[in-house]
Amino acid sequence: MKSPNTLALSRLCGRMKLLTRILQASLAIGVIYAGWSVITRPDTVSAWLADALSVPVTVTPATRLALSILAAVVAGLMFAGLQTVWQLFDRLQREKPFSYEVAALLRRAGLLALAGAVAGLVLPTAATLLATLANPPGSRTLSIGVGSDQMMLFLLAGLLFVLGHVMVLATAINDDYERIV
Amino acid sequence: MAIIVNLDVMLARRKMRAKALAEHVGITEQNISLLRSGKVKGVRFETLEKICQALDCQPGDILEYQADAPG
Repeated sequence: MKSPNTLALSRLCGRMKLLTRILQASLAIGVIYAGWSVITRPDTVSAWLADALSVPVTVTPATRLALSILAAVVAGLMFAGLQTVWQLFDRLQREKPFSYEVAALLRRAGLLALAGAVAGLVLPTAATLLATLANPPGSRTLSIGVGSDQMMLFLLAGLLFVLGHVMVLATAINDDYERIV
Repeated sequence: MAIIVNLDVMLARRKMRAKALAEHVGITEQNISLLRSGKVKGVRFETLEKICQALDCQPGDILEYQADAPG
C-alpha cells in the first residue's frame, strides 16, 4: 500500500515529466525554426543577431556555420539536461527516492547544469566575436560580461552537482547499511 | 569468504524453522535467508544476541572463521 506522501510524490513527478517534455518539444521547435531561418532567411538572422548583441554584425556563410555549430552545442546541452531531468523524475516516480540511480541522475543533471552555466558565460562572448569578425577593422567587438544572474546560476548548478555527488556517496553507504542484519 | 555462517546447522539441531527464528529475533525472513546464505555484510550484536537467545547457543556456534586458501 502506498502512503499519501508517495502518491503525492508520484503525482508531482508525473507533472514534472510532462513539463520537461513540453520544454523539450519547445526547444526542438525553436531549433528547427532557427535552422530553417538560417538556411532560408539569412538577412532576418543577421537582424536578430544585431538586435540580440546590440552591435552591428556582418554574417558571412562561415560565420553562419560557426554560430550554428555554437547554437547546436548549447541546444544539445539543454536537450541532454532536460532528458536527464525527465529520467530523474521517471525514476523517482517508479523507485524509492533514496536509490543509487536517482542520485546518479541528480549528479548528472548537476553536471549538465554546470556545463550550461559555463556555456551561458562563454556563449555571448563567442557569439559577439564571431558575428563581428567580418566587420571592417575598428568595429570588431569582444565583450566579456558576468552578471549576478549568471553567477547565481553557476552557484546553483554547482550546488546541484555537489548535492548529487553527496547523494551518490550516501546511497552507497545506505546500500552497505542495508546489508547488515 | 573467511567467515562461515552455520545458522542452518543450528536451526536443524534445534529443530527450529527460519520463520520462527525471524519472529523471535524481530527481523524479516528474507534477512534470515540472506544471513543463512552468508550474503550479508555484517551482523549487529543485537541480532546476534537474539539469535543466540532463541537457539540457546554461543556466537561461535553460528559464526566460524575459515582461512582462505592462498592464491
